[in-house]
Amino acid sequence: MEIDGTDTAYRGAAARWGLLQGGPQVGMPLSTFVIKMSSRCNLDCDYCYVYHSKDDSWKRQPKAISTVIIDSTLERIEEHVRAHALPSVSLVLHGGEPLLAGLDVIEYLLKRATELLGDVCFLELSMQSNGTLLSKEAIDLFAKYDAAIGISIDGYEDANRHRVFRDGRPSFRETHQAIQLLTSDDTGRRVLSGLLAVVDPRTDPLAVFDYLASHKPRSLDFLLPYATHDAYPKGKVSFNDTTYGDWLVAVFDRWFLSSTQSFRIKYFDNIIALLLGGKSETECLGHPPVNIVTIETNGDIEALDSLKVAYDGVTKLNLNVQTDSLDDAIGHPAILSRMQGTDTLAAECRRCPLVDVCGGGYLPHRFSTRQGFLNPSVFCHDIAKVVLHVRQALLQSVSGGQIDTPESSARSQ
Amino acid sequence: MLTVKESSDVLAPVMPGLEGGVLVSLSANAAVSHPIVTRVMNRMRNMSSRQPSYYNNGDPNAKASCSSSSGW
Repeated sequence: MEIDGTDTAYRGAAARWGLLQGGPQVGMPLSTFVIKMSSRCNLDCDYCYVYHSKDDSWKRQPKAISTVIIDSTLERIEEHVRAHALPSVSLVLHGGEPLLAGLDVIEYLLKRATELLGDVCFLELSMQSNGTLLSKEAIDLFAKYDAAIGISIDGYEDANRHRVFRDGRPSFRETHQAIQLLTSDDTGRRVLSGLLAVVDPRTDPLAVFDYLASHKPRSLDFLLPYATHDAYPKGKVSFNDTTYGDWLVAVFDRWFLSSTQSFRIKYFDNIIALLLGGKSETECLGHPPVNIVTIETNGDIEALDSLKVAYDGVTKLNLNVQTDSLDDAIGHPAILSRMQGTDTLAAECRRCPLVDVCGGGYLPHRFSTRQGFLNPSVFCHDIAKVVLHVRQALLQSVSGGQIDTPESSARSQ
Repeated sequence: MLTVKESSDVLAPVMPGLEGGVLVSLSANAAVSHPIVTRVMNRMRNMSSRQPSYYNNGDPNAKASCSSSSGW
C-alpha cells in the first residue's frame, strides 16, 4: 500500500496525531509485535481497555487466532526482519486472555516462530496472562521454547477486587495459585518474567508492594490505569491532583530504601535511567521510538491496542497480514507519530524540562476529544511528583563525589 | 537552559524543583553504592557499548526495542 502524504485522509489523520507537516513519511522498522491469541477474556476487569472502552471492535473479531493467521503473521515478520536486517524482535502473546486460544495453538505459534525467526534474529517470546488458566503443562511448554510469562495481578486479595470472572467471582485465588506454581521450581521461576499491577490509589501501596514482593519475582511493574482528559481515573479529582503520584512514591520508597532490592521495578528503573541521561525501555516514559504494532485475531495490523480507550476505531490502520506488509504500517500517521520523539507532543510538554523523563506520558493518557493527543498526560502532575522524588533519592544515594545537575554545571562555567 | 517561566505553564506553580531542568549527571569521582542505582547504571553501560542499529543497538542479545506497556 502506498502512503500519499498529500491525500486528504492522510493529512486529517496526521493532524490528529500531531504528525509533523513535511516530516518523513516512512518510520523505522517495527520490532515488537503484540499478537492477540484470543479476542475474549475469562475475566471482566472493570478497568480493561479492551472490554470497557469506547472501541468495541473485539466483538467482531474471531474468538481465537487461527493457524492460517499465525502463519501469515510470522511470514510478514520474517519478511520484515530480513528486509531491514533486524537483529532482534519481540513477540508478545496477548489477549483477552491468551491461554483461551488453547495450548495447541500457542505451541503452534511458539514452534513456527522459532523455526522461521530463530535463525535470522534474536527472538524474544513472551505472554501476558491473568494466570487463571495456567497449568504445569503450559509452564513446561513456555520453558521448552525459552519463552516468558508475565502475570497480571494488582496485589493482595482486596487490592485485586477489580479483577473478577465474568460471573463476578474474584480471581485472586486462581492467580495467586498460578504465581505459586510458577515460583515453585527453577523452571517456573525462569519462565516468570514478572508481575504487572494496575495502580489503584484507594489501596494500601505498602501492602500491595509487600504482597507482590513476597513472590520474589525477577521484575515488577506498575501501570497507571487507562484514562483520558475526557474520563479522569477513579480517585483523581483534578488535573493538579497527585493521588496516583503519592501512591507510587510510597511504593518507590519501600523498594528503594529496603535492604533486599533483588528485583527491578520497570517503571522506576526507567525513571532512574532517564534521569541519568539514559534511554527508556518502555513506551510509557521518555521518548523512545515506539515501533510496536498489534496483530488482531483476524490478522488486522493495528496501532497500540491500549489506544482503544480514546475513541472507536482509533487503532485501525486498514491493513491485514494476509494482504499487506509490515512496511505498509510504518508509514501510517498512528505509527509514524510515535517515532518523532518530542516533536509530536503538546506545546506545553515540549517546553517543560520534565519531558526528557516523562516523554509527555503514555499516549492513551494524553487524549481529549477536543485536542486529540496534543495534551499533557492526564497524570502529568502525578508523574512529575514521582520523577522529582526519584531524583531526590538518586541525589541522596550518591556519596563522595560531585553531583552535577545542569544548574550546578551552569554555575561552574 | 529553559527558565521556569518558559518551561512549565503546567507544572511550575505546583512543582518546585523544576528550575533548571531535571537531569542529573555524576562526576567522575562520584561513588554510587546503592544497589538499584548501580544495577541501572550497569544496564545503561551495556546498552551504550553496543553498536547502534536502529533503536535496539544491534546487539543480538539485546531486548527488542522499547517494550509494550503490557509486556516485559
